[in-house]
Amino acid sequence: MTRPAAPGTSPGTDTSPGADAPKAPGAGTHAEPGLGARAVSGADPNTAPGPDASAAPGADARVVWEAVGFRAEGGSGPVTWGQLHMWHPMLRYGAAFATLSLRQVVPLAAPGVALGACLDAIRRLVETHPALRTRFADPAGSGDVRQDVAAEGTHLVEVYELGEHASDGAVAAVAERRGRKLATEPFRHGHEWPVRFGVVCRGRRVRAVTLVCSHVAFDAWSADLVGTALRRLLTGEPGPAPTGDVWQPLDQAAHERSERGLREDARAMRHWRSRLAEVPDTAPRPAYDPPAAPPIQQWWVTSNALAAASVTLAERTRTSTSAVLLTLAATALSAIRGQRTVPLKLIAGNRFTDRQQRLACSAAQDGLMVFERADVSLDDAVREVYRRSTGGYMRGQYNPDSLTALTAELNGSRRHPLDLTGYFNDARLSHDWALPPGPARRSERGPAFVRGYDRNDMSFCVVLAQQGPDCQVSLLADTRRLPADRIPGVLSGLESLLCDAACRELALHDVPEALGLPPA
Amino acid sequence: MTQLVIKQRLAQLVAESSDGAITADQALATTLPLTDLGLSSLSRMRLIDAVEDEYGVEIDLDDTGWDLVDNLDSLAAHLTAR
Repeated sequence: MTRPAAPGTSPGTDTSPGADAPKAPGAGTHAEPGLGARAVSGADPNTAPGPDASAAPGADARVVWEAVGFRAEGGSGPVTWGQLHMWHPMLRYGAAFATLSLRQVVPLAAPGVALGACLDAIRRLVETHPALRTRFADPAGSGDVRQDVAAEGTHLVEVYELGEHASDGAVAAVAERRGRKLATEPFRHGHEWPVRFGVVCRGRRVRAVTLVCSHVAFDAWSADLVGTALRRLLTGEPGPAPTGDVWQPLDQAAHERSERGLREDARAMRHWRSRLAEVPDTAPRPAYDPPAAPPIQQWWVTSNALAAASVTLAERTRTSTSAVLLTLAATALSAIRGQRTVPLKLIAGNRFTDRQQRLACSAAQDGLMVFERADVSLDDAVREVYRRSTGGYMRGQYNPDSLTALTAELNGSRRHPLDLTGYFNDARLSHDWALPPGPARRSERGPAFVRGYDRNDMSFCVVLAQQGPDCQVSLLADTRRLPADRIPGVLSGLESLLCDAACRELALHDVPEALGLPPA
Repeated sequence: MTQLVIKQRLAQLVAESSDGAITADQALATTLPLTDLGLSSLSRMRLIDAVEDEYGVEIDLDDTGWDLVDNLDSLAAHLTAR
C-alpha cells in the first residue's frame, strides 16, 4: 500500500537506524531534567546509522549519540484500528515500508537552543506522548497485534555538529540529509521506538531537530502534532490550554472495543456493503502491456492557478476544493478504467472531534466513495461528490479485519473482484489552499516526475498537498492502466480544465478528453 | 420526548458541532437549511455522530440523510417518529 507521499514533502521517505532498540550503556535509567543525556560518543555500529559520506567526508567524527532517558506511565493493550490499518502493509512491504516513514525538520532560529535543553525537551516530549515510547508485536503471528508502552527507557539521539561557521543553508541541508539517513532503515517495531531523533548543531547550539516517525505508530496528522509540540517545547511558544486528561492510544484501543466502538464498526461496514453493492460486476479496460519501468509512477504539478480555480469552483458550488479535485480524480479514474461507476478509497484522517484531534497516534484509515459518471454538469457532479464523500469520510473508522472479511465475502459472489486500488488523499491536514497574495500563477515548469514504484497497493492516487506557498497535486498511476507518457498530460490537463471551469460551466462528459483520457 | 424538546436538544448539538459558529438560537430560529448558515462538512459529520450516539439511530448521508440533517424540524420529526 505504499501511500504516495504528498508531493514535495518527502515522497515516502523515512527510515531509521538499522538498529534494533538502541541500547546505550545504562539504558533504562532515568535522566533528570536537564541532565537527561549521556554521550555515547562514536556511533555504535549496532545502533546507529553509518557515516553519511555524502554529507561530509569523515562525517562520523561529527556525530555522537546522546542517550535520553525517560520515565512515565506504562501500559499495554491491543493496537488501535489506525495502527492495525498500517500493520498489514508493513508486513507485506518489508524493507520498502521504510519509504513511508514520516520525516520532518524543526528548524530553530539563531542563536539556537543549548544541547542540554534540547535533549531535555525531547525527554519531556517522550514522557508526554506514549506513542513515542511504544513497541508493537504480534508474538503469536495470529494478527493479535499488541502495543506496549514503556514506563522507562532511553532514546538515542543523533547529534551532528557542523562547526561554528556553518551557514544557515548548510544547517538546513544537513538536517534534510540526516533526516533521510535516519529514515533509510525500516523500524523494527518489536525492539525499537517508533521515532528517531537527530539534532544538528552549530557550535554546540541546536539549530534543527529531525524527527522520523514510523507510519505504523503515526499518521501525518499525529506526526505533525508531535513535531509542533516539540517546537513549542524548544521555543517556549505557548500551546493550547490543557483540557484535562489527553486521550491516548491505549484509551482509543479500549474505546474501539467498547459497545460504542463496535457500533461504529458495524455502521461503517453497513455503509461499505451498501455502497459496494452499487459497483457493477464488469471487466475494466484491458491492461497495457508491457508496463513502463518502473511500472507505477508518480508525477506532480505545482500550480497556484489550479488551486485558485478550485477555490472559485468550490465557492460557486458551495462545496470544498477537496470535493472539486475529488470529482475530477474520480472522473479520470472512471475514464482510465472505462467504467462509468468506480469505487475510490478516501484517505480519511478521522480527526472530527477535539479528542481525536489531540490523539497522537495513527488514526487515518480508508473511507469509500462510489462515483458514477452521470450526464450532468461538472458543477452538479461536484455537489454530488461533496455529499457522497462526506458520507464516506464519516464511515472511515472500523476494524480493518471487518473490511477484509466483507470484501472477501463480496468478491466470492462476483465474476470480477472489486478493484479498490483507486485512492484520493487530501494531505492538507484539514486546511484549504494557502494562496499567496497577487495573481495565482500557472505551473512554470509543468508536471515533474516524483518517483517510481515496483509495487504498490495503489493503481491510481491523486494527492493534494501544500508545500509552503506552493499548491501541489500529484498523480500516481499504474502504467498498465495509464501509459506513462500520459500521466503528466493528465496533470497539465487538470490545470487547464480547472482554469476553464472557473470561468464557465462545463459538462462532466467533456472532462476525460480535456485530461487526455479516452471517453467512456 | 416531544418534537420540540428534541429540536431544542438538536440545536444545542448544532452549536457544539460547529464550535459555536452557529448558535443554538440561530439553529432554532432559522427557516434556511443549516448549510446556508455555514454548517461545514466537518461540523455535519460531528453533528451526525452526536445524533447517532444520543438517539441510537443511523443516518446515511448518501441517501436522504443530507437533507434531513439540514433541517432541524425534519430531523426532530424523524427522531420523534422512530
